[in-house]
Parts: sequence; C-alpha cells; structure tokens
Amino acid sequence: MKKNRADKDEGLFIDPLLTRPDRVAIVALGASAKSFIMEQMSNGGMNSPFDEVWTVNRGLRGFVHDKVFCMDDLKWLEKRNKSYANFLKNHDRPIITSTPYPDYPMSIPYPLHEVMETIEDDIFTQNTIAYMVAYAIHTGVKELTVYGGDFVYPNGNFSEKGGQAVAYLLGMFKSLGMCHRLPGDTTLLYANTVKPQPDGTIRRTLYGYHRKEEVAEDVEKEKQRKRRQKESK
Amino acid sequence: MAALTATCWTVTIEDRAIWGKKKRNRCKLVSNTGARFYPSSGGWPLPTSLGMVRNVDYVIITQGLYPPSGATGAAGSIRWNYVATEHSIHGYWETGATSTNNAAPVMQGELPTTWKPSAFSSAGSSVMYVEAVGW
Repeated sequence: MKKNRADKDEGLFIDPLLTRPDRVAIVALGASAKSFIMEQMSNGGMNSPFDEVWTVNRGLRGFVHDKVFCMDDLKWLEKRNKSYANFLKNHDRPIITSTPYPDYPMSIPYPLHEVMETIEDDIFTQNTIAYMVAYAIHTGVKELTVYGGDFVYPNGNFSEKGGQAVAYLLGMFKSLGMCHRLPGDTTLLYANTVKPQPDGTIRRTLYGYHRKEEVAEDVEKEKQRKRRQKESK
Repeated sequence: MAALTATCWTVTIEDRAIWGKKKRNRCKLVSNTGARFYPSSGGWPLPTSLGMVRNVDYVIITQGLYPPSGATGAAGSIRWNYVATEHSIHGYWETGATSTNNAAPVMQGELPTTWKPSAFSSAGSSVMYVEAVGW
C-alpha cells in the first residue's frame, strides 16, 4: 500500500475503501478492549481470526490495525492536540475521517452518503463506533466483533454517548444475516451478564422469570424460620 | 469485429432497497453502442457492480432489448437469459408469431456474431431493465 496520497498521480486516495473483508474486529477504547489483547496473545496458533482490524482514534497506538477511524475534523483536532495531529500526519495506515486534508496523507473520506443510503437512517452519525458499524453493514462484513465498545460501566453511574446507536446498528446487522460477536466483559448489549444458567444454557438471565428463584428462596427461608421457631419452643 | 463488452452499457440505478437479507437495485441499462457485435462466446457481459458495494448474486431481467415496432419473423423477438457464472446475458432468437399466425414463439439459436444493438435502433428498444440482487 502506498504510504502517501501525494504519490498518486491524481484524485482522492480511496483504495482502502475498496476492500471487502468478511471478518472484522472493531477495537475501541473501552475497558473490554483488553479482551482483544488477551485473545491475540493467547492465540497459540498465531492464526488470523480477522481479515481486518479497525480501531478508533488513539487506538492506533495500542492495537495493530488495518484502518483507523477518526471522525473528528483533523484541523479541529490539530488546534487542540498538536502532538496527536502530528502522529496522524505521519501515520502509515488509512485514516478514515470526516474531511481528508492533504497534510494528512493517509486521510480518506468516510463514504457518508453511500452509507446513509444503505442504513436509511442517520442514527449512525452519533459517534465513531456507530460510524464503523454502519460502514461494516454498508460493505457487507459477514462477521463483526466489537471490543472496547462498552459505553456503560457495571455498577457505575457513568455512560458515554452513542451506545444506543451502536446497539441499534448491531440489531440491524443481525437482521441482515450478518453475525456480530462481543467479548464477555463488555456491557454492550449486556454481554457481560451472559453466564451459565441452571437449565444448562449459557445466556442472559431472563428478567421477570428470575423472580421465581427469589420466590423459591423466600419459601425456603420461611420454612427454616418456622423450623427454628418450633425447635426453640 | 469488436465485440460487445460490459462498458457498452450506461447504468442508472433507479431504485435501491433492502429486502430481507439482500439489496435489490432496479437498474436501467442503456446500450450505448451500435458499432460492436454480439460476442462469439460468453454472452454480452453486464457491468460489474450494478450499484452493489460487495457483490452481485444474480440479476433478474425485467425488460430486455426489444425489436422495433412491427418487426416479425426472424427479427421479431429475442429472449434474453442471464448467466450468473459469467455475469452476462445471452440472447436467443425467437420466431413464430406473425400478423397472421399466432403460433407460440420457438426459441432458435443464440444470436450470431453479426448481430449488433443497432439492429434495434429506436430509442426505447435500446433500454434494458434489470433487478440486481446482492450486497
């Protein structure tokens, strides 16, 4: 792959937008991104579970990737974080962004209108991960794994914007016959609540139905209370 | 004799939709050359993408190139078949019906290499509509 768009004779540098990978990992910056690292390091066969790895913003420093999505305007970013901007200027991987600039040789325009045509909704324009999932739908990715797209944190009061958009898009992804995978430690789609159940299945707890267990516990406690009461007489 | 190729079509995507798990694009194909001839093998290739991002699974022909008004006999009709493995269309002459004979059409051989789209020179007859299915 050519490093510099200026090496091209003419026209925009869009070659990376022409790839059509079947299996993609999105590695965002939330806590569950560590699952990606652990899976990669424990992959003894060193095989390639993904055709492409896409990361977000500063994820470019932490993860080996094929594309980085950085939807913030690069000139806006430059004024606020010069060292980050310099890093992007010298980056050697495609940077998919809202507006490409000549002094960011690897910047490539996100195909906004084409993706909008596929999604038929602007819901994906709410954060960078949503842009990425929408792009995966648009290009027909068959299997998408999302690491680090947590948005809400267990037992915390903090949430990040965009989680609903990503959840909506993953539902759409599945309805189109595509498959998404989530690590067991992400709060996205409550994947972190999936666990072995008494009936032998591995799934989320069924809200409402789980009260039956509580009712059974209450009955058992009442029995024990009465037994103790009887014994003390 | 230069053969017809995929670039001999001008494509307009008139409608896009996602039905179930597939994208379906209604495409208007205008035959933009009269100077090239039907290929000796492999049929007449269609444009690669037909508005798809990833791949075309198959194409449904909803309106083939048709003969000028009043044409009968050997010039009367062409049946177009899409061949997915080649992503091309094959044309076959049909004969039978005339102004005095309502016989059912009989498919003849594949178009000869002397056939060219200008045989159907009127404006409407150079247009084909297909529905491309894929993603």
